[in-house]
Amino acid sequence: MPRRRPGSLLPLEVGILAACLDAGDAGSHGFALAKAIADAGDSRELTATGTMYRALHRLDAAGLVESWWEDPNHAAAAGRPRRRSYRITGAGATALAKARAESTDTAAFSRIDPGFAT
Amino acid sequence: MNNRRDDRSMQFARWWVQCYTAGLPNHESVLRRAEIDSDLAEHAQCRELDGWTLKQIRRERVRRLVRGMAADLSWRHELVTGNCQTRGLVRVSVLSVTAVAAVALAMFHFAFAAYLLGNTSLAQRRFLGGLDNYAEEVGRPVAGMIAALIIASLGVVLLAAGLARPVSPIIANVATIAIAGVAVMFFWLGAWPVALVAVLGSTVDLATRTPNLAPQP
Repeated sequence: MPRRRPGSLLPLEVGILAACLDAGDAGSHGFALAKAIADAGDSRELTATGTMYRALHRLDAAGLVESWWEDPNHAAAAGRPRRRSYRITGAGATALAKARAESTDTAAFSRIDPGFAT
Repeated sequence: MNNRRDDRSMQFARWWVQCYTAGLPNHESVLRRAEIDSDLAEHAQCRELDGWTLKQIRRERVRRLVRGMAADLSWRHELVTGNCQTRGLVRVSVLSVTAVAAVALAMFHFAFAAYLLGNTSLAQRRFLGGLDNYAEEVGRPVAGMIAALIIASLGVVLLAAGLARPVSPIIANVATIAIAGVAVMFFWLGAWPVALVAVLGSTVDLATRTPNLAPQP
């Protein structure tokens, strides 16, 4: 697992925020986010359940995403358990943009000096 | 459809969630269980629509679960030690579980003691086997009763440790050490089943004791 710098996001957290951003205001539940991350990374391997929900819990606690539970009647009508949906917040969108900018800078810099990335 | 989905891998997933959310504040454990339940259902439905076989779905379900176990435990640890808002609740909750576990273990010891009293020759043979000379000297019924008394005493100490823990962790810790001491003594004397029961009791007690080490808010 990569070591976290204060205020920085882990790759999984960037993936979750990006998937939440794509889902828009309607939000997305945990499994759909895991699938979106796998699809975006061209991977068949879904993020592990524990890893996914721990990261979501962390992002929720940090105020980068907000969550809400589906109406039980709606879930019952659909014949499945209630979903917990997640939506990116303003702070989350800012953090995502910052992480993406940093990642672009790092990639550009490592192209100049390959030793930088090691 | 639901019956098909409720297979062993699903039950294993639910059992695991129950394990790592045990003793957490009610809202945290209920929400996590509901969320995982939803995830399992969404996963099964999605993969069925993708045309996966039941075997493939089960395999992926278990793989996702097992790969995330360390994160589950870490999440639990964060809740128990890192979250000031819930730490007090977790502490009380876990202590209640400790007391209940100690009472259950003590009941087991008492039942065991009663069984041994009803079968003193078995008690002497199995539980004081290493003390043959002593058993010959005092006679089998007395040796059996002594074995029962020892087991019942361990039950009393465990009960005291569990009940004392919410009030005074120090007394509870002393009781746990006493049980461990009894275990060592009986192992040395060759009565290893008594030692085993004592070790089991103190191990369970020590395992549930860990949250007491969390720093105070």
